[in-house]
Amino acid sequence: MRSSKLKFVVGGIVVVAALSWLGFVGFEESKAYYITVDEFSAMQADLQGKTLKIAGDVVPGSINRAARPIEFVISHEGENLTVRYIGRGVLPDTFKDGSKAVVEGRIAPDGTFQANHIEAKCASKYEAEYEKRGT
Amino acid sequence: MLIVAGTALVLLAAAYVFAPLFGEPRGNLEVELLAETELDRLLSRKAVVYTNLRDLELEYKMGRLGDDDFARLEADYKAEAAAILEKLDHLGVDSNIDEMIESDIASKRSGLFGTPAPEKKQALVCPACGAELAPAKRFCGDCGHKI
Amino acid sequence: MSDFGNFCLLVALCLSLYSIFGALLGARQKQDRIVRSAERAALAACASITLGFLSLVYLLVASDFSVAHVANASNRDLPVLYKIAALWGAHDGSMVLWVFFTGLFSGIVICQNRFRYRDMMPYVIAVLMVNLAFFLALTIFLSNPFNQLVEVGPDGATTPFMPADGRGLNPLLQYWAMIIHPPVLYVGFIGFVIPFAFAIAALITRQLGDTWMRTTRRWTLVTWLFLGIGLILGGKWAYVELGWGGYWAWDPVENSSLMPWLIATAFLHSVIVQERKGMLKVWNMLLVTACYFLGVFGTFLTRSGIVNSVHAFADSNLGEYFIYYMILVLAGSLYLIFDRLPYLKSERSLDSVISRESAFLFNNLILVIACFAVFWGTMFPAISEWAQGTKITVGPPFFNAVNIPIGLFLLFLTGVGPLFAWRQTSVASLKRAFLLPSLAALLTCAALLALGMRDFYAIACFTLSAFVVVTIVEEFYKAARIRGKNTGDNFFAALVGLTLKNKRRYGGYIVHLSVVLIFVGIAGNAFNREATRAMVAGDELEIGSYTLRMAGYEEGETPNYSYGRVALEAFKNGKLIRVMKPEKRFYKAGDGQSTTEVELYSTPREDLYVIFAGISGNQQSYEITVHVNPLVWWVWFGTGIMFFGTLITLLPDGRRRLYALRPSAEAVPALQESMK
Repeated sequence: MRSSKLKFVVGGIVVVAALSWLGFVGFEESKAYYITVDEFSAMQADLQGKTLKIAGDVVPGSINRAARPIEFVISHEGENLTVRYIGRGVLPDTFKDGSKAVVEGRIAPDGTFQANHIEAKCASKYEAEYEKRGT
Repeated sequence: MLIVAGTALVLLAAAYVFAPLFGEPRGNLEVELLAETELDRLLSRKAVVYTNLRDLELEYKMGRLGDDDFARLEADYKAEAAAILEKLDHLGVDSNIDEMIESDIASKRSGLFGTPAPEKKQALVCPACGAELAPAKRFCGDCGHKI
Repeated sequence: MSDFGNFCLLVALCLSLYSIFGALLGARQKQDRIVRSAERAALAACASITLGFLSLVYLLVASDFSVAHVANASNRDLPVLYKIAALWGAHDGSMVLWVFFTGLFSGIVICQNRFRYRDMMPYVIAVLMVNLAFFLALTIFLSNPFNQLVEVGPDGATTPFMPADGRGLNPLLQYWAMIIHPPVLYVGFIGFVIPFAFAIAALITRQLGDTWMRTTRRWTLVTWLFLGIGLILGGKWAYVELGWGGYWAWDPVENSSLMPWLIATAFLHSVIVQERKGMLKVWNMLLVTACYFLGVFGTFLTRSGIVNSVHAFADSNLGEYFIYYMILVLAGSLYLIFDRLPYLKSERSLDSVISRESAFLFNNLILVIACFAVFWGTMFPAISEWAQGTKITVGPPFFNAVNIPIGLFLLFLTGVGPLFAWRQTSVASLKRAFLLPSLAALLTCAALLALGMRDFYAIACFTLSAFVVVTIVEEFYKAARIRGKNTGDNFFAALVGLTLKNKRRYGGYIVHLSVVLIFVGIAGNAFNREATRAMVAGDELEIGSYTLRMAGYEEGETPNYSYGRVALEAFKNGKLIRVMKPEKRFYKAGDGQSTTEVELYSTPREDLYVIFAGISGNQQSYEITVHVNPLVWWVWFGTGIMFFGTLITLLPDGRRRLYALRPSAEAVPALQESMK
């Protein structure tokens, strides 16, 4: 009775340890610092070589779809950042002028930001026009 | 229009909700209720032991168990089943409850296919839910009402 | 109509509060009539919610844009079906659907048990109604879809305002799987309140046999099934509508529904151990609490805006209240479990590591770890911000690194579990049982290596799948032969008879089989290929055994949207299989959202997935992205099988009446004696 319980506990610990190690490796591989454009501008020097996720609004008119790679500018709190999209996936439909975007990538040696993944969400501009009233 | 609909809604709801408060008090049912769950437990444990036995036999026939393991585990389960049956007997519950259930199912089935069962004349009807009962029944198998 | 709807919800809130009060008072004073009144109040609350729900449907169908939710989520030219679906197209309306389902389930449970478990029912009612009242209050006071639009004049005075047309339903949501995905998922979240309510009632009344589990077994299964199907429908939607070629991205909202599903899967398995062996009682209590808690937590994640996601609703102000409620749930149930520990003692302990019980235990351990890893990864941005001040996100590599091995280990357990007997398995019989499945696994492995496959995880997955499939088939085959011998039936009659005789066991095996199919589909991911090219008429694009030839481009219009689409002739090994027409749509309502309509050629072997990404630059060339995704078909097919298998386990087994029998009046004293 006792030994079977012990065996089970040992087995459990082995499993947990193995998975924690795998999790740690995966974590190191995929961790990214999530910041906004203004934070990025403030601490650019510290962020060389790190994977970053930067959030900002797409500046209307800045998307240059003709360029290879596609270029656009995101901004937050008055700070701007030019982003080059080097990823392979199709840009999401929600990515357009004024949408809230999160770009994931690194700072390139030439100082521009190279994104290989973009998430975007529509800005809800109608919300501002209607004012709601509680009944 | 809105006021009428709203008032109607509130009145209907109130009448429906408060009606039981003014009915006959149905008394303190607690003792019986607790007893029910104790019996429930014994019956369900009995069912579980039978399931375990059935599976054990299946596993044995499929070659998952050696002869001596099978004999040992079977004896184990059978002892457990005997203990439960004894307790059920002690509680005054018909120990051949399975037979009761079988007869109950049979009477249900005959009802379904329209063949009049011989004891149809004395067939009892549950006063609570109207389901037909086998003559040996003291409780309605459909809703549990005591007769 | 909007005022009426709002009033209905308010009445329902009052009724549910009365019901909580009445149920607890009735239980305390042991007066059945008060409990009956509380029961009726709960039912009336459900009816009232239904009226509120119907009035919102009416407002949507009638396109009454003076109501904020209708103006936000619908427009005139939307097809009627989508108008109704717009009910859950935005946050506040979806709350009404949520409370509607909550009310519906609570009502059904209360009706089902009108004559059973009279001592537990008051507490069940109380828990159900606390849950209902919480979500009702959130709906009414913080996200009321019946709110009306007003215009604020220059002098600050407000006048009712009715825009000419609504913003329209988010076009990304205008797809069949997305229309049914939220309701299905809601059922999957909400249903856990029922086992939870029975568990709490069992704890309070100290009736900790497995009555509460048996009663709620079907609810747990149905909820689990809906949650699973909801997850997959969400994946199907992402696959077809989002156009990035995949169906699962470890997005926080996806994760938030995966977590309760993992725990529910663990619960479904450990319940069997408790029923059979009287073990794991505390553990099951914890799991059922976790299921409900994670359901609420998932709702919180989706609706509070604390994590970023494509699926999440816009920021709302509900977060704070969710946190209070979650603390209440957690503290209350943990206190109860702790207080009733003496009643939750195991009746047996583990006999042997090589036994069915032990396989179940490992299965539980692994599923809980998986859930924990998903939780950790999802919450890491919030945790790291709180702990260090910097937000650190983790991506798919983390989730994959942990969950792929976990998935494979589960697959392994699925295979070996049935080979172990309960309590103990002899080594000799084990050798015999492992022979055929291992042989099949080895052959599969060798064949894959010979074919040049080198991806470790994919090979492991296919190998284990072969192992599991052979065990399951063997299980059916052997048992059917034994049955056939006993009953004299032919093999197939015996097979059917066997399955119907023990629906849980064999239905469960069918579900296992479906899981294998889904895993095979997922493993296909390792061999995805893609290509992107700007093409003009006559250009060809080759990928795998497919060739796509650009044939033309056309534009058109429907009342709802205008579109541009390319026509591509798809050839497989030189033979024309289909003209594929991927589309780009521009919706007219709202702020001119565009969507990409993927064109799919799906076969069990692989999917050909074509996207028209846009017209590139100044030159008139069309950007085409093509994915070839092997085996994806099996994910959807497997889900169908899972549905079928679960239905079998849900079939009534005709033994239920046993539990409704009661002792005679003479027996009661003896019973009381025996309980002391």
